[in-house]
Amino acid sequence: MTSWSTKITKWVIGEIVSIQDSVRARAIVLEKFIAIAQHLERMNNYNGIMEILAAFQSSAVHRLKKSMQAVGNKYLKVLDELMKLTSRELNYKNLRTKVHAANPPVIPFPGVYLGDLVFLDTGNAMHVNNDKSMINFQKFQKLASYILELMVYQQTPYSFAPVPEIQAFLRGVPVMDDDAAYGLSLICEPRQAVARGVSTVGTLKS
Amino acid sequence: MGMDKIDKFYNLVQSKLGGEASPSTSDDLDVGDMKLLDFEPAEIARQLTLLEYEMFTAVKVSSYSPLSSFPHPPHDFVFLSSQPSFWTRPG
Repeated sequence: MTSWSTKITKWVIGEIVSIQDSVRARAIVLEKFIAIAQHLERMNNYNGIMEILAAFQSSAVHRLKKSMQAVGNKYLKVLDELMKLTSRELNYKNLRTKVHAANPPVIPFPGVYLGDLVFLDTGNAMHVNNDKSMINFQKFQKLASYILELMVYQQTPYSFAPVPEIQAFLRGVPVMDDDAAYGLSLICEPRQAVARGVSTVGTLKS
Repeated sequence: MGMDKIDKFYNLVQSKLGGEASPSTSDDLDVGDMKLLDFEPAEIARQLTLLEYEMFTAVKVSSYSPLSSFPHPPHDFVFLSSQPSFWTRPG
């Protein structure tokens, strides 16, 4: 699932930076992905939202300021709300609240749970005494609660009708490596000098 | 994995009945000319969600428990029936 998410993120980056026609044409693709992310939120697919937002936060896309300025206000508002929802602030507090309030079916963002499980596992001893005759019950009770939560989400499937053509399209999306994507991003919007008098060698990578 | 089974099935049919087996259905789907802008965002989201839910349900979350590395529960470890058993690996 992790490699799939990486693939989708790279595909989104590739789709955006491949549009070399005009800033507006790129903005339309950005709007398209914001609209997809909005639908994913309505479908409680939080993993999918993270895939698209990870692309928007990548170095190749994040630096495309002119393209983002050409995105419509209603899309920027949606993007801002999704960014707030998925913010890492307070250990994904907003995302956790939203997921817990959602009615299944739900696809949670596994990164949150994996982080919790690793933290619980590494931060708490397996046993409560030196001779290891008693396990740390609280630790395992907490671990089980996280695992059971994920298992509950695995019990309620979506009732959408599959469209094999689109699924085949998504399975076969082209993936662009980071350097190639950044190279195309530079063609989309070339670097600019930070200030007058600063040589092009001294420009900063945004 | 599913595709392997389908391929094996076609090979089996071919060996039993002779002749040329048709290519499997997914090979017939020509998605070469399809582009992102050809699809509605809602439909992309729906299909992405279906694919990701399939992957999500394939994850055996119980394997994340450190207890999964225990070969057997301790011999003197007893749970009351009303309590969840951490030693059970569902799925």
